[in-house]
Amino acid sequence: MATLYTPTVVGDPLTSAALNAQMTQLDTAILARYASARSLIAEASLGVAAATWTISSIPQTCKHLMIVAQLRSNYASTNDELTMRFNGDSTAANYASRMTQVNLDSSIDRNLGDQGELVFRQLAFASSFANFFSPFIFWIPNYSSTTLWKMVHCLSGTFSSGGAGVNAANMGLWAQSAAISSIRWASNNAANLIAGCTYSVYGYS
Amino acid sequence: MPFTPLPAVPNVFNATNMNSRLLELENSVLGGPATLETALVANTTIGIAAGTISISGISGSYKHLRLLLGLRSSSALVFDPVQIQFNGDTGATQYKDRIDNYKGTGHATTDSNANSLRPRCPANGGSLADTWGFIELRLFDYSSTTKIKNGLMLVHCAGDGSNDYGAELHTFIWNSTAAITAIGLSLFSGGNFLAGSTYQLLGTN
Repeated sequence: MATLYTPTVVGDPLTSAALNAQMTQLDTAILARYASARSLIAEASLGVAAATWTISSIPQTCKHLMIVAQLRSNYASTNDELTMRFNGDSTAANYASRMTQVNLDSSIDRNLGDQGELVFRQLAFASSFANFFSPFIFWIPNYSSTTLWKMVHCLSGTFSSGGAGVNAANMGLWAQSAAISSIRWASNNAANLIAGCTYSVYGYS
Repeated sequence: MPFTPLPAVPNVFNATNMNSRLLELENSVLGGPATLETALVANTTIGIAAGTISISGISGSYKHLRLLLGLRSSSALVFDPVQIQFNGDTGATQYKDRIDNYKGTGHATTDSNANSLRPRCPANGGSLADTWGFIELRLFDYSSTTKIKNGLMLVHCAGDGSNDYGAELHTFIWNSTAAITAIGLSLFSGGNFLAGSTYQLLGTN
């Protein structure tokens, strides 16, 4: 709630310079408040199917990232996964993925293998429920740190054409202390991500 | 910068006009224009027990929606499913909801194919006194007219305090390409949401 100006004399003339100073002060306070919360860093929609999709030039002005995405591949078989690579690093030893999921092959808790990127379930594929894009939420704490290894938490899910669903809670480790400046997504089965995929990247200060 | 500085000429401004200017600036912040990254669309605490909660007139000016619910049911159950419907759609199989329920005694999985989404909230019949269920529902691309609607839900309930408590993870579909303009809540038991139940709807750009 703004503290209103109280006139001290009738008419109480005020110069433009004085008013502008007052407004600038308030403006600065407002911007500081929003800057300390969440900001939209990037958003995009995939116009043409592509084997990889990269979020590049991620600014280092925030502490944490949250990414909201809707993704689907054209993988012709079943059970596709999403891969996630940071800063172009394809060194297998630098990545570890762990997921909790119920349904497929009765697995509840398992590693998704060590390869040159993180692997996250579930990614909607060609025969998933029509017009459905898997919802993903990724949290990457301290993505801009230059001393900490990077952890990723991810929730996602998908539905078969018949409406049977799968939930997945994923966790990934990128054993590198470099700040994350780019993220590359792809199908783990070398399929294409289809047109219509979207993402929004938010930064937290 | 949300305000335009006054010109140097005539270089006067009175207290009344300054107050108007401050209120204008304050309203622009509190009112939340659609371009803000996050806007509070609805924020209500129920004063009197009610069988339904309706949020209508949701504009399409945001990208995603986030609904935060704090609910408790008057029913004689331990947990009461909350029926969530969009745009008044009561179609028998319009809502596909994959539910993974984790609780003290283990894990259960349900593929709900029903006339509503079905997260649970605590009820008077067995849940710990004065505990409220927390439901966080995220709707992705809710105003699209080409994608079927989907999202993720996290649910937390205290239960009876022994071995019947838990958390739920949902991935869901509302099988419609219509933009979501209304959200309706009711209880599967036919009971009432207790006074003190809360809901907040946030629009995210």
